[in-house]
Amino acid sequence: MSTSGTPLRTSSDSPLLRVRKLTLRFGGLTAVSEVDLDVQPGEIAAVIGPNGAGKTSLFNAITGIYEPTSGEVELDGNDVRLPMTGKVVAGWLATGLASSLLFLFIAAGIDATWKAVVKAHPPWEFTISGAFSDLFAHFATGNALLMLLFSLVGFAIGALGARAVWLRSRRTPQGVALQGVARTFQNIRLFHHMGVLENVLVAMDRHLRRGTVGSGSAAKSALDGRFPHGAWLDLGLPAVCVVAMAGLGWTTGDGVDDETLPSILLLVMLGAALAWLVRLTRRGTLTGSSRVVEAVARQEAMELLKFVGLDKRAGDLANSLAYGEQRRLEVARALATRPKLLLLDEPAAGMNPSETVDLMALVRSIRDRGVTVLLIEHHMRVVMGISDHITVLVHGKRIAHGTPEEIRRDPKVIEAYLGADDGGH
Amino acid sequence: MTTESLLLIFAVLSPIFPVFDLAGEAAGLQLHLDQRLVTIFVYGILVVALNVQVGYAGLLQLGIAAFFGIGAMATGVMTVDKYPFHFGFWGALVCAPLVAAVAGVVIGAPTLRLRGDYLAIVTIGFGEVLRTVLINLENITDGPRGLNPVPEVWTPSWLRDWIGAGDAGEANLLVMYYTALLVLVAAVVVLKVIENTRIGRAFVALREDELAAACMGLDPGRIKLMAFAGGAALSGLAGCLYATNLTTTADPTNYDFNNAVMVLCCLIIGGLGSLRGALLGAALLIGFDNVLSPLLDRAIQVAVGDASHPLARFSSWRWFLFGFALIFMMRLRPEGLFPARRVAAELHDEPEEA
Repeated sequence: MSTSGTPLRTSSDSPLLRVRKLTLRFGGLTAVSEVDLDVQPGEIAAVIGPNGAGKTSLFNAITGIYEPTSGEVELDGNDVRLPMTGKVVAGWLATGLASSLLFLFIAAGIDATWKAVVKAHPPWEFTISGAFSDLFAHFATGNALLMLLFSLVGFAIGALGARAVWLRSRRTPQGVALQGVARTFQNIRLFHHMGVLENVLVAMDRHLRRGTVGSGSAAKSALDGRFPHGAWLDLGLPAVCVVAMAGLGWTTGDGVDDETLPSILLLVMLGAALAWLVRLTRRGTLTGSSRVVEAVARQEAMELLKFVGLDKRAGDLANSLAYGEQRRLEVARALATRPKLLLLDEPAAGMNPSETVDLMALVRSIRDRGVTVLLIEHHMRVVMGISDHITVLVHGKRIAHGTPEEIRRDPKVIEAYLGADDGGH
Repeated sequence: MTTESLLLIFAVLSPIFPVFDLAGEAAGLQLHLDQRLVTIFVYGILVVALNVQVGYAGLLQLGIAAFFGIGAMATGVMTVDKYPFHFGFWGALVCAPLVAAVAGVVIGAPTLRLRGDYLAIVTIGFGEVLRTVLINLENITDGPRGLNPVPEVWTPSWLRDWIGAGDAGEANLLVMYYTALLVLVAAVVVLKVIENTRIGRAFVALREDELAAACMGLDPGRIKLMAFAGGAALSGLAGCLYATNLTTTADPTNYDFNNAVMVLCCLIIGGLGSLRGALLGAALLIGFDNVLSPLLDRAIQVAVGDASHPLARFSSWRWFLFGFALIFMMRLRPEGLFPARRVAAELHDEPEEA
């Protein structure tokens, strides 16, 4: 899985997106029925069909919003669902152990255990090893069967609960997005009360987190020796001082006789904390490295806005944009995740003819950036003009697949969709 | 209001409050303004903490007092003489938020799938359960008596002498005052910075459109948990200062639903999602509760002579006044006094879209 740099192009034999026998049912209604779809890397593919044919449902199933009733979705030969690794199973077991421990203490009585372990001796006679032997002695006095039963039940609840949550979140929109699929929405779903630039930056979140913003020399300078140690230095010094002071409290009680060492620790801690606060206000980010990363990310976001022609509106609120501009901002936001595959859900809806021409140019230039495009569209001029391959859905079933020329001539398509006059354009 | 100006306000304002106290003493009034202001600062941290959850991430959380109580109780357990831990104030100041954050993760992880009203109900339930648990774990928490004495803020004796000019009681009050103020300022500065970083943007994006945010690769569960745990940690910090200021963990009924509603009132009146709004709300409501109403009580007592009747006490009317203020705000200015730009836009856009 490529997470950074330019999107990868794989060899053309294997499709980038491979959908097999995808079925999606809502109760008795079958929205998508056993649909196959291959999208080759570097192409512009389209899905067309009359209203209610299941196009958007297919998109939602691909991007993980809906869980398909059956069928497979593969990206670059990998299932888009999270793989079940040893780490995942270890996570279930750890959750189970933590919850079994809690249940064990409940069975032994939390209050009684505390009394037997912490309050059994005067505070100055407390030792950690003594506490453990008191703990086991207390457990020995309890009802062994009850405690065993509770621990087992606790383990089962924790482990099975963690497993159930994981199974339900195996296919998630964010999981699919992280594998390199970005999308736009039929009804525009921008973050309306955020700025135009902020909308793009939100989509770069993953790259900001990992520091993989920018490209070429910009990326190098962002990461050059500055990532990710700043935060540890900032907070490490006060933390060490506090731990040392707590340790002194532990060994000597609260009445410290010699105040020299704690005084120095306190002053160093307060000084370091204040210096950190002042530096925070100066640079406006939590760490020095995140400031550099943020600056490069803003630059990259501006380039994306320029690419879709919105760089002049960067500071405006998203809901102040015109309709066509909002659609283009959605495209820029999707591109900011650095997808391998971009799904466009009716990008030309509500656009006038000249905007539509611009859109076609935009989709082509997206493809030329190395991003494969799959789009749903009703404008036949757009679909026939830019698509390399077209898939036709009717009533949730795929009735045809081919180049625009083949689709135009396909009698089934003409009958079902385009109408008797071969019209639509 | 930039964070720099906040630091400036801190530096400028802090030395004048003891002067008020001295003036009050000269006039025959025991003001103890610095002690009362500590309560305002503590609640300021609590309101700011709730703002992380409700204002930034849009999680309607009504159990904030539970995390406040966990922080206070953890401080008590870690510092009182009768237990062997003796972390001291500074150790507790670091550990109490961690304990509260862990509690936040434990409560938050299974409830994050719930939205809006359901999350509110779960968190109310958690608050009530926690209060009962704290009362009933008598061996740990000493039940309604609370753990005491919680030690004061440890400072070297030379510093203490210098601050209090030899008066131990005054030194205690002032050290507590400056510590609470410093923690509040630190919390505000850090949150102010976070507002404009990746995490702050993720919170807002999630509040605006969770599905679109997820499709852009943001993990809603993780971000909500971050907000929940962060708010819980800040509440724990406030709890630590609260217990230290009172020198006891107090009766667990102090951490009940009323308290949570009070904090929510401060936030709503001040302005959801806005730091200065949160601070203003805390200053107005808690200031009214802690500074103004005792003074008014006193004035009534002086005027009437006998104020034993509950209705003659001004403080008996506080919930009425809070409720009235809340209804008034909802009617006239639902976004609060100092709203965040975005929240105000959201509140005013919705009727048109609906």
